[in-house]
Amino acid sequence: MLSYYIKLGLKRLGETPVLTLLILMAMALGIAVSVTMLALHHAMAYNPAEEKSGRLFAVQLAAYGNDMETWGEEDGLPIQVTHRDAMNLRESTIPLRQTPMFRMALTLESHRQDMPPSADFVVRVADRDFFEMFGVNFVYGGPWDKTIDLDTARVAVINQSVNEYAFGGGNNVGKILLMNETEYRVVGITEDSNPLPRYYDLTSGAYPITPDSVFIPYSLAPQLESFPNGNISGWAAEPVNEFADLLQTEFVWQVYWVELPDAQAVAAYRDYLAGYVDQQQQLGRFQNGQARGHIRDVQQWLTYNRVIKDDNRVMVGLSFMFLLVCLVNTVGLLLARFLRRMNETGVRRALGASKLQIFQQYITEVSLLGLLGGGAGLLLSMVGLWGIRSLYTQYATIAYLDATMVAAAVAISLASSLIAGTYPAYRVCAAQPSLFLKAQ
Amino acid sequence: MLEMQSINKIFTTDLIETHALRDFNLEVEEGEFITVTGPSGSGKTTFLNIAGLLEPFSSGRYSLDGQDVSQMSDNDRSRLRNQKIGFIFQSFNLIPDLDLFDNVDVPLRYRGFPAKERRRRIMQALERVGLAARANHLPAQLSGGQQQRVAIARALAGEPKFLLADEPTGNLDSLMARQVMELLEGINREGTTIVMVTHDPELALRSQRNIQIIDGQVSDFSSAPAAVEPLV
Repeated sequence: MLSYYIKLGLKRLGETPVLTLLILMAMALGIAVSVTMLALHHAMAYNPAEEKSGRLFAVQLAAYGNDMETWGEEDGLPIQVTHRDAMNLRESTIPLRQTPMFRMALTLESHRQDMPPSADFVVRVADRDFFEMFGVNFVYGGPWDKTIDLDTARVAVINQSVNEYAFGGGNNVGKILLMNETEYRVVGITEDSNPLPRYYDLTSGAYPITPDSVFIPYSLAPQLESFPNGNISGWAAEPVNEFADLLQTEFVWQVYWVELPDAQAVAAYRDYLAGYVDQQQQLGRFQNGQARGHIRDVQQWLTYNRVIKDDNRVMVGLSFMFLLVCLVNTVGLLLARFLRRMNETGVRRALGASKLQIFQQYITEVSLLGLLGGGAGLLLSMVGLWGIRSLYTQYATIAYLDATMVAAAVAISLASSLIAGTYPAYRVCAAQPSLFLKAQ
Repeated sequence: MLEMQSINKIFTTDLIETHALRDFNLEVEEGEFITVTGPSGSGKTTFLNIAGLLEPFSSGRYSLDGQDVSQMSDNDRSRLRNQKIGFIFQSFNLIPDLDLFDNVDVPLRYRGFPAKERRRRIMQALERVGLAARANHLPAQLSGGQQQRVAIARALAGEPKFLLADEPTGNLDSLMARQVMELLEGINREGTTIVMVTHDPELALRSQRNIQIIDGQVSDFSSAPAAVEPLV
């Protein structure tokens, strides 16, 4: 019977075109607004670390003086660490992999004629483990040798965009890249990738437009002359005239990640952090009563840093309220549409249709309307997301529909049509058929 | 075929109770063709609706083709209606946006026949009423008499044992009315039981038996339809 109901439903779509259009508009608008907000929320809630999410941990240290009650986040923990602590933490052998990191903006020069110097590429300073920990894929070459993390060398890993800019593409491993008039030997070329939210470094926003394009060894930090391109925070005033000064301060400006493969390693690293805090206290640092170390995995880190703002959740809630309002309107319009056909319903009942069969016929018709409304809503939500990308640059890289959201839109359309159609269909099928048989 | 014993039908509002049928008793034998007459508001249509299982009754016992319908569920009543009863209405009640083929198809769909069987029955029924060549026409393209013949074809397609007709000639001129009546008489001769509500005394005279309903009760049984008084 389903094919019969679908055939009838399709036949009736053209009936009362104005009413049909109003129903479709009401459903499409409600679905468009809710899918737009949901798509944005879905993109923001995405965890790019996926299966490694539970193995990667951000390290926090409450490393400040006793003249402060609290500092950092609400729990008294800053999200960054000092250079001195980063250097100390690197000595632990518990993590499977680990890396401190910070960002810089250096000026690159191209080997191509007519290409001007560019400071548009983000340079990330990190240890070799960064590439494996955060899933960076290489096109040519690979990461620098592990020994360079200790002994240092002026090497660089670049992404394909920089490779194109500096060399015009191709395998350029071994060639020289000029940054701030300093030579770096290219050891690897990676795919362009921009994992969002940028979970491993949230200090300058979760959704940066520019990806990390050049990677240089953390061991080069003492030799660098430019200041980092990120947040620098301190709990006490300290004179900083040049970059070398910053390395000696208690200012926090680096992020530290460790990869701990199992619960045993996690427990061991927590013990290690506790021991490290004790050791530093004995050395006269970490004098605050809250002094402690803490680690959070990726999902915890995203939540802790409020990557999804409360505003976004409120907007999703409001959008579904709007959908509800649209559905209430749709209920009224569907009632008008169905009640016009009461005579036909009476005839069908007289000819042997049960209440259930009449209900199924109308619900099928509503589902078809819902799918059409959902399709229109999907198109409108694409327009909505385009508007969001145009208006808000922080969402420019994430406000898109993916396959999951398209499937969600279809599900919302069907659910909406069932919610809106149940009462009108019930009213029609529950009516006494004899009342309408003489009313033609 | 049809047996009603002490049927009462009471319509209740906040202020008033109306007895549409009161202690209504009737027995119709298989193969009979009876007409039902009575003044407007006497309960003819209520009787027809109850007989056709379109309306519940307040009390009494009703048995159709040996089955007590009093306690039947909506599904069972619908199935019984679909399998054993054919309806013909005064205003034809064809579905305007379906062609003749699809209109006749409606009861067969609910019967669950396969497509081939449905097609055979539809074309047979349309041929019976002389409209097979116009199977793809819409009802609005036909005259009133033709539309009523389509309604009869729709009623016949499921081969019901019992045909209920509610003033089937009420909207037709005398020539067309005669044609429809002849069609119904032919169907009855083939064994289908027919109960027809009519205001037309001439048609009442042509049936085997006429009953008159007044104030919700059978006031007159007559095997001689000549006893029926002309009605306004």
